[in-house]
Amino acid sequence: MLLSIDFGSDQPIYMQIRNGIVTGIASGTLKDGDSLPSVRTLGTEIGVNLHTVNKAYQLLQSEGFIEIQRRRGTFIKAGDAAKHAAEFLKNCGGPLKTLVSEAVTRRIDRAVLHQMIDHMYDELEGNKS
Amino acid sequence: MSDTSLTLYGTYLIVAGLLIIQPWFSRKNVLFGVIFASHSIWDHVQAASIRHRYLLSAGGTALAFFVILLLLPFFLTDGKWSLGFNVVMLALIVIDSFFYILANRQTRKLKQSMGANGQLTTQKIVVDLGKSDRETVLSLKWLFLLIPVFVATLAVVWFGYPYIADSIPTHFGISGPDRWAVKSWHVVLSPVVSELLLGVLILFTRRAPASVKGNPNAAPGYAQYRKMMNILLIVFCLLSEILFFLMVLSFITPIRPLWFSILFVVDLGFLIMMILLHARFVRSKHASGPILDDDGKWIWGIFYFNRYDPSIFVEKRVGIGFTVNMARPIAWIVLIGIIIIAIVFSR
Repeated sequence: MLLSIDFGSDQPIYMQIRNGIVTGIASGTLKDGDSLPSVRTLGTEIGVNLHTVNKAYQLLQSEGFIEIQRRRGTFIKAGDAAKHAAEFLKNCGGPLKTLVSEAVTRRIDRAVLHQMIDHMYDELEGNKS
Repeated sequence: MSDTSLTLYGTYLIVAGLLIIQPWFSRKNVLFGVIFASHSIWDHVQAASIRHRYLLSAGGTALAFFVILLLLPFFLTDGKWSLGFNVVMLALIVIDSFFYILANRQTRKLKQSMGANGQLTTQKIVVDLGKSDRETVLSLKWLFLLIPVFVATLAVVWFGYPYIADSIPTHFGISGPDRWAVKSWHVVLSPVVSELLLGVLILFTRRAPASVKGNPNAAPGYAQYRKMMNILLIVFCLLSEILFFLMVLSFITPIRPLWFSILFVVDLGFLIMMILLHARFVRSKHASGPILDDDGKWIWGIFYFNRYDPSIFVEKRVGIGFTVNMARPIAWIVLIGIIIIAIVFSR
């Protein structure tokens, strides 16, 4: 899977790594059991401090997307992510509310927003099958 | 003309030749250490004239120095002749490097005059997550190949010391040993140290990043090339080790010079293999997609200095092999350490 990093973006690098991997899992490019490069390798490849990569991996592990095994390496463990669904729903309320509020102020139709989400869902699931 | 002078003239021609054609040992989208979006830069009219000027001045200097070298034996005694050779060699390297730096600056100006290219970016980078470390980094097991000969060399020196003759050959010409030294631990251990240094160097370069920065298509086939180069380096090391082992063995029992010559020729063959691998995997590949414009991190297109890059070794911009990231203190420590050890044991 290709991970794209933008040094000019406002988003911190570790969040870009985290988001890239989550999108990879959602689209099926990264599957359960796939191994990820070690913290050191990915750090040198991107050209960032290994603590940055470590931060992203730790976050992904705490969110249940990956498993870090001390000796064997880092693996995708998407099955665990479903267990954290309730927590996710609780947390995503905030950012989602901001987006919906903005859509409402801009007079964007409810159906358009629904359609947009449906389309994204279809695209990700289409990639999987 | 003696064997020694012939060897020196041969060395001069090889070094001068490699020095002059150095800029051609680069990726197709790199010209004198300056990165461009596409390989079409080699067809650019102004780029061609920079190349011609460089070839004329660097080649002309090399030729002039060669004539000086041919005349030197008429003015210098035998003892001073090799010193004169070293001075000429150093002058050639300094002056030709100057012409290279000049060409690098002209190419940078050319790039500025060409305006921005959307494909060259300083901000975006794409890495391939799919490769596991096992695929990109050469397994440590390969290094085990180097241990037996190292242990054998050490054992011969350690247990054979009492049997070593009082005078030791330290330099080998075409017709056998031609320089001798008085027996001491320092002298007999120097081949062992050389073997160790070679091994350590491989251990370090093994960790070079598996891709060239930018995107996987900025340097297609690079991971494969790097792996093959590392294997080639290990085989080269193994042969050099055998050469050192024979050298140590020759302290105790006479070895036929033919063995040294054979191994020397095979080592030379590896140098040629390296150039061929470079031509096949680096020179012939065309970059595509976004390419990281990191000219600012390359001093004169030769030295890499990037504080934000954690890698110690990176692919050379110009030339074959790897270079160190000068912004990393560990790179300096390793380099200075190697130089000190090499100087101490070459005395």
